[in-house]
Amino acid sequence: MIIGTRSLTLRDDDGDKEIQIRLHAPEKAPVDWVCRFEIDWPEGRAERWGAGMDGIDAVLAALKLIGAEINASDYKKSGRLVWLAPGRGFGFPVPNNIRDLLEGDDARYL
Amino acid sequence: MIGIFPALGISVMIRWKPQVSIPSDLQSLRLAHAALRREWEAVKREYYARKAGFDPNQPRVPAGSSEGGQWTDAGGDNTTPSTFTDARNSRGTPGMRDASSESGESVRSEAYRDLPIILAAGRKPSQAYCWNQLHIDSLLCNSLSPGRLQWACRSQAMERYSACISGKPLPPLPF
Repeated sequence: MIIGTRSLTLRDDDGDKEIQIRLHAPEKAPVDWVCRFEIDWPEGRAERWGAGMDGIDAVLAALKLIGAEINASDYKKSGRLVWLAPGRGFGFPVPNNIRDLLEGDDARYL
Repeated sequence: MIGIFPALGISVMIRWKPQVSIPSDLQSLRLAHAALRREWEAVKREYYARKAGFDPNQPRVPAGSSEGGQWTDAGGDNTTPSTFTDARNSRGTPGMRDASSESGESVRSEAYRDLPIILAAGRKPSQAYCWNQLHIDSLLCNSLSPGRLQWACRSQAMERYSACISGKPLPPLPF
């Protein structure tokens, strides 16, 4: 069950392309909890999941992994990936060790 | 998978089975599979380096004998060949180790030394490689107790994954 989506825009000479992110409800796994998510990159869909001690931990892990995937991507480095406004960030938390990749409102508020 | 991680076999099977998606395009599946196989070899080298102080440069018994291909002593003495399992058991059981112990320090040092293997030829690890690395780290974290330690391990595993996909890989986890 999808519990949240976010659409980013990849600006290109050929026009804008939507990069949709979908977050699923956390699920109980045999050992822990997992929370799946998908990112529709232009080259294909990335299907990943975050794992945690409980459902909330799994959701937090998934959100951080989404933030890591986006902020470490070449699309973000190129400056063509936009959420609400160019250079203002994407609204996803990231693990502490890559906070230097955050920009705009992400660096200020997250 | 069970052969590689005998101590963790059950959880590996259960974790992986429902989470692998099958692309509709068979060709892309084949390409992805080939790439993952290559990267899996690198991941295994790192795994054994971390868990057992395994030396990937250790010589093997030449082909032509019943023990051909098995690991042998570094000094070239073929009389006591060992397998992956033997090497692992002789240097400590995989799984948790005391990070403050002398053996723990030794294993960690070897892992640091093997970091160039991960960064073969100076290339940036691929997304698939980093994802596999996160899986292995998660298996390690799942084996820890109490939960507080497991949670800390997961957090560090995520940091390691983030560093990996950012092109700045971190050494193995200190657990």
